[in-house]
Amino acid sequence: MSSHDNETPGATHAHIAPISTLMGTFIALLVLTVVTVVVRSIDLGSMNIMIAMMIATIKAGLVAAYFMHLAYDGGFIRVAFFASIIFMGLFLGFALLDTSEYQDTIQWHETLKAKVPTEGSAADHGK
Amino acid sequence: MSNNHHNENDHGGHPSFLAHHFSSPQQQYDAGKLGIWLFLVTEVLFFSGLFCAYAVYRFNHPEIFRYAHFFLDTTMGAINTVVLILSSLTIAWAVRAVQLNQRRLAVGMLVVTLLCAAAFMVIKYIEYTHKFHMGLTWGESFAPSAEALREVLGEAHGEVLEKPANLHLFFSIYFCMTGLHGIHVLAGIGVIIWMIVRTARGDFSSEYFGPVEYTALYWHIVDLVWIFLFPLLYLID
Repeated sequence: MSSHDNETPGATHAHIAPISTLMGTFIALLVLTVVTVVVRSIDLGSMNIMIAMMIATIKAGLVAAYFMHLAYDGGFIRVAFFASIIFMGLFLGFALLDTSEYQDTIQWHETLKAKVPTEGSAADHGK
Repeated sequence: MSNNHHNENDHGGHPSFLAHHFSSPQQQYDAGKLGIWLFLVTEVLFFSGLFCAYAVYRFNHPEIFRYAHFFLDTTMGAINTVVLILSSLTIAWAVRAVQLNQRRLAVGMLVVTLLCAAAFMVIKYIEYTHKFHMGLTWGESFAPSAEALREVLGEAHGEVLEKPANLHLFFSIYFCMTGLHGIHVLAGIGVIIWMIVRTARGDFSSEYFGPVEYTALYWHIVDLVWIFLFPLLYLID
């Protein structure tokens, strides 16, 4: 090794995940999977989807932090990844804010289709 | 830059894995890692289009999703979730093994990952063929058989659910989301096979393991997408 030191300045440095971290993450993911299946059978109304999404986000965070080494790789990688999450949030958020604007048109279209079943679908494609 | 003792005609000093345009293994590794992460960012945005479609339709028509999820087999979905989590563990372990020069262990872990990926696709295949058989497909081809509807009413535990209009919307979304995810699993299978071959023939070491780690990062994103798809499609209430 030492004879090559001058030619390979600083061999690749990267985080090596300890087995305990890998197994811990794995077990946490399994437990959360069981939790999300069990919680579903308890009726909490509209809270169910919120809880399911929270658990999924925690699981995703565990995968990203420990399996994908994001907890150790800082800098631009972390910025880029969180930026993609933020833009996804903006995308979904604005789409959902806007979606009720089109319900009248959809209703009108549905009644039109109900009135003239054959013409309705043809006009739909021909427009 | 001038202190880079780089000679056009002399390759002897460079390790064989170091591409000509990088000055050090570390630079090559960091560049590759940034590259794969940028790709993963585009993957998140790519899938967000489908998640957006899902959110908009579910927000406007919760009754379709509530009714349609009875057609999905939660057990199969849960098994696939566990299979993918296990495969994420084994590929992360493969990266560790190759970083520590444990070649045999790395190959073993990659093979287990490959088997998990294959198991995932087999279960997906069983689910898909069952749905095709019952006429539960996308768009205008949607024509659920009487058998399929009876199965749902049985599953609903006596709840009288009225069949909502535009039920096919759920299956269009279901097949788009799981289909695109399945294509990613197939691509992953291809890359993992390539990594098994390269690891087995000794391409990698503690000095050079970038490609295995990049493959693992891609595979984790595939797992990550499924972590969201499972509750969104199979666990609706």
